[in-house]
Parts: sequence; C-alpha cells; structure tokens
Amino acid sequence: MNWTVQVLNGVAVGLLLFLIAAGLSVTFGVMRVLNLNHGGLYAIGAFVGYSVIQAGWGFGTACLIAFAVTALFGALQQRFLLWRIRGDELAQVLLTIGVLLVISDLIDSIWGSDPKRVPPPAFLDESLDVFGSRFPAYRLALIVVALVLVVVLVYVMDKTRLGAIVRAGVDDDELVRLHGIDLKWVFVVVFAAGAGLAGLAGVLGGPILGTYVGAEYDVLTLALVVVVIGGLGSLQGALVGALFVGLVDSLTKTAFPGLAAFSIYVPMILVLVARPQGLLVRHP
Amino acid sequence: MLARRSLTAVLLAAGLTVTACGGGDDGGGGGSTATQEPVRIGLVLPATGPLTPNGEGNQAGFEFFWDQQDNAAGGRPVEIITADDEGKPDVAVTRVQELIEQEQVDVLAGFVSSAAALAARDLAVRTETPLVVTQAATRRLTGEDDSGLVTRVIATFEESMGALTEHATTEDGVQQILFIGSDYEAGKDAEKAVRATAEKNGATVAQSIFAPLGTQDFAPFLANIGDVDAVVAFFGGTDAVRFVQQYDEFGLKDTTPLYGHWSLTVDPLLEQEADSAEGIVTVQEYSNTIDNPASTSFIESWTAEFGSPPNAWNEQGYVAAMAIAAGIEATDGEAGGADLAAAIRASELDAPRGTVTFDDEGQVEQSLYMATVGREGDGFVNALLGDSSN
Repeated sequence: MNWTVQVLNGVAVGLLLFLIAAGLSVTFGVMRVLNLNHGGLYAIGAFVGYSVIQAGWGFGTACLIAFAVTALFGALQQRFLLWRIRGDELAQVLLTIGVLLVISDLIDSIWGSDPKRVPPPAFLDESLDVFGSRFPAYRLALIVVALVLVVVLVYVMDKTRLGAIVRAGVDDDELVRLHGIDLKWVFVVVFAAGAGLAGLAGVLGGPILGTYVGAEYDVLTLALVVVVIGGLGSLQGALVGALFVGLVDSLTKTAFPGLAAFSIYVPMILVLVARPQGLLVRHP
Repeated sequence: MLARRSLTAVLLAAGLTVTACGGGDDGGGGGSTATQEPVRIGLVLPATGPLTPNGEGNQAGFEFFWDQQDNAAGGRPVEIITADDEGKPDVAVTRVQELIEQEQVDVLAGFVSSAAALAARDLAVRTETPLVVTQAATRRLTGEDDSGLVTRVIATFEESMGALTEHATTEDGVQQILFIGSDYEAGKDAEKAVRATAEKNGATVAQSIFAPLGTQDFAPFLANIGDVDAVVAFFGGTDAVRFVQQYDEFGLKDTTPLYGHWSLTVDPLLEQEADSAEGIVTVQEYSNTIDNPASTSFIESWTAEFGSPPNAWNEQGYVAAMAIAAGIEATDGEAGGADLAAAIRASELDAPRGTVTFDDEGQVEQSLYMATVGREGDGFVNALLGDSSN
C-alpha cells in the first residue's frame, strides 16, 4: 500500500470539492442566500463541458464555456429569483429545490440518461510513477490548477475592494449603501463567481466524480457536507472542510474498504458533535 | 453563535429534503381498438434513478417486439401498461399493486433491480400472475420459488460469472484473482460465483472488495489491487463507466487484465468507456456481434427503425416479449394465471441470442459467449471470442 499516493488523491479530491463548495459557503454563510441548486450548477457545467469536448473544441475551452454559462445562469437566478426573497431561508430552500428538479429533468431530456465520460486532456491522459505507484497525471495537474484558484480567491476576498464590500455589506448593509454602493449588483457578481466555479468543477470533476444524470444531487450532498464540516462563511473554512472530507474519505476507503459507506458521514457527525459551528468560522 | 447554529441546522435539513426528493411516476401505454378483450401486460421498469438506462433499454426492446406483431398474439390483441418502479422495492410493490388491482393485468414483466423484483414476486405469486423478469439476476428470484409463475431471461450469476471465471482460470491460466463489485445483493452473488468456480479449478480469490453503489471515486479501492493475475469486476451504469475509466487512469489496464460481467461494457456504456475498455474480457448473454439468422434479422429491422444497432438490454426486453407471446400462442389466448406461466416456461424460442428454453425453475437455458472489447471502425465492440455453451 502506498500511502503517499492516497494522500495525494485525497488532496486532489478535496481541492475539487473546494471548488464546488466555495460558492455555497460564501453565498450562504456571508450573504445568507441558500442555493440548493448548487448541485444543478455543477451538472450544467459538466454536461455543457461534455458537449463542448464532443464538438472537438478541447478541454480548456470546455472549462471556460462551462464557467461562463453557469456564471450567467447563477447571476440570472440571483437577480431575478433569489433577490426577491432575500432573508427568507425557507422560501429559498423551496425555490432552489424546484429549480434543481427542473434542471435535472432538462438535462435528462437533452443529454439522455446514459452516463457520459469526460476524458482528461490528451497530454494528461496517462499515469505517472509517483513514489513507486502509478498515479494519473490529470489528478496532479488538478491539484496545481485548484491551488492557483485557491490563492486567487482568498486574495480577492481578503485583500481587494470587492472582497471588502462583500464582507462589509453583510455586517452592515446600510452603511455600505450610504457610501453609494449598490449591493444588489455586488451580490449578483459574487453569486455568479460561485456559480461559475461550480460549473468549472463540473468539467474538472468529470474524470473523478463522473458526468451523469443524478450527479446534481450527489454533488449537492457532498457540498453541503463540506460546508457543514468546514464552517460557514469563509473560503478558508470551505478549504479546510473540503480537504478534511477528501482525505478522510480517501484514506478510510483505502485502509478499510468495508467501511466505505460511512467514510463521509461518520466523520461529519463526529465533527458536528465536537464543534457544531464547524471547524472554522468567520469572525465578523 | 445561536444564529450560526441555526444556519447549520437549515443546511442539514435542506440536505435531507433534497435526498428525499426527486422522482415522479408515469403511467400510460399502448392501446388496441380490437373488439376482443386484450391481454394486458404490466411492464415495470425503472424510468427514474440510476437504473434508468437499463430500464429504457428493456422497454424499447419489449415494445419493438409487440410493434412487429401488431400488438397481437394467439388471436388476441395485447395491451402494454408501463410503470416506473424507480429501481426501489417499496415503489415496485405500490406499482405492481396498482397494475394488478386497478389495471387488472394478466401478465407482469420487467424489473432491473433484484430487490424490486423480489418484492414484486411475492405479490405476483399471491395473485397468481405470471411474471417474466428481464434483468434482475439474483438467484433467489427463481431458485427459492416453487410457485411455477416466475420465468427469467437473464442468466444467474452462477452461470454467467461462473462461465467467465472458468474461462479466466482454464483458458487464460489465471491463479490469483481480485474481485471488486457493487456492495449489494447482485455484487455478493457475483462474488460467490467467482469464488466457487475459482476454487473448483484450483485458483484463489485473494481479496474481495465491495464498493458502495454510486461510488464516485474508485481511487482508494484501486490502491488495494496488489499483485494478482487478474481483476474480476461486477459494476453497472455510471459505476461501470467511472470504474473502467479510473482503472485505466491509474495504469492498471496495462498491468492487470480485467474481466467482467457483460453489464460492465454493455454497448451504451462502451461508447463512453471507449479506449479505456479495450481488452476487457466479458461474458455475454447477447451481443450484436453474434452471427446467426435470428440475430441478423433482429439487428436489420431494429437498425431500420432506430438508426443504430440494438444492445443487450434491448434484446432482453425483446426475448421477454417473445416468451410471453409464445405462451399466449400455445394456449390460444385462452389461459391465464398458472397455466399461462407454464406455457411461457414450456416455450422454445429462436431468439437473437440463439435457441432459448427454460428449466423447471423458469430459468433461461441458452449459450453464453466470451467476448473482448476491441476496435471496430471509429468505435468499440464486444467482439466474440468463442461460444461457451452451458
């Protein structure tokens, strides 16, 4: 058994989960907008990306188009559906589950129920010798790409004017408005970015999590687990939660394949018993 | 802090709601305007959930046969009433109850999930309704049943996985096997069959791994595949596509030969698995690479109708419909209940997969075929290696 490779795999899966969950953590934890259609955004990205690749435009183009399409979808959803019911979490849950069901049926009718396969880009479609074991080159590349995105996102959120406005808007939205800033559009931008990341993760996650009707529910559950474990409202929390889930899941399944069915939820329960607020919490 | 906790609670509750959601149902079906009272067939297959492709494949084949027969057999019109069991036993019971009590069906057909089929069998037996199973493969379905009502067109795992393991251990000289399969009834049955045949031939199953249904990342399991001669796998649907893809990505395809049940590389999945599946050896009950007159004419008429060749799921539905039609013909459309079931079991079919008969447990008797995934033109096919008759 080569544990180094399993740790690498846990990190790769964890970082992928971060890309999926980052938007959910920030929009819910910071903006108080609960979007259960987050899994639907992943699926839209995944299937749009699949079609772009099938059309021969390549993996990179698929990532960009998936990001753009889901970001636009997320922006429209925030501006025309969710903005009207801000502050009402129950209404948000019902509305976004409704959108999720519609998306799921639409995907089924457009792409059909057969599972799809998104192959890695050709130059990464091989396995490398890593510490004496074979490991897919694609997963190594995914780690690098995701780490770059983590750095960019944390920088934007903590160091830029946009990040400051988002954080300030949540703590005291009246004061922000007094400065002449229209929060409506700030929220739309943030929501679009989170949605775009989920869509991007749909393409990047194809070779790992799969591209199939029903992924929208499976991925939503994973994203909720990550956000609950990590603690709401910060990118750092989502990162800690995602790496925790990726590593614990990967290592448990390697060591005890028979416990595979529990490898995500038992750790989640243990974390919630010890720290009901999650591992990391944003301190306003 | 209080606010934060309640937000977490909302998230958890929302997650539960979502997992409980999803799905609908459908009714409908074909009709006939003939004056005579039609034979009513209740076709129960998953149309929602992960087994949907399997269910749709069966349904297309079943309906195609009846279209060819102008929806009639034995001088009586035939009416098909479809229902969606979502691949779940509880839903299957509700749907079958509706079909029997409200629709008053004369015959039940279909079922992909073994659990759903077992739940439906008890209702069918209690109401003396003949049941023709397309795809649910657990041994218990026919082996434990002495009602004479259940007939099945899919081989049990003792037969299919047994033949596959026989081929691996005798023809290919495999000594050390690692079994990996889905963690539910079918996976366990498949493992038992592989183990029994391997041990009979002096080979061993060094390790058995069961992965939960719907496993997304197989990497941790693949890490457990150590120094063995071959891996024997049982996966279907999305699990099969991801397993085959990741087996290749982790470099195992080049080092350890992979064997599987036909569900691992059935044509609609093979289209996606593509080069990752090349070289996988499978046991086939039907493949459109079979060369016999019945298969050739089946492929021709199917391709003329749908524009692409039929797959193993389609043929299962087709053969189930053939068996029901043969039973109705043999009794001149007059029998129902146990008599009709007996006539279905007594039929001898010139099916695309070859000659089909049924044993006294209602279990299909047919040839099995070894195949390997190879390139053909731009695509990939399950090319036959030879016939391993049973």
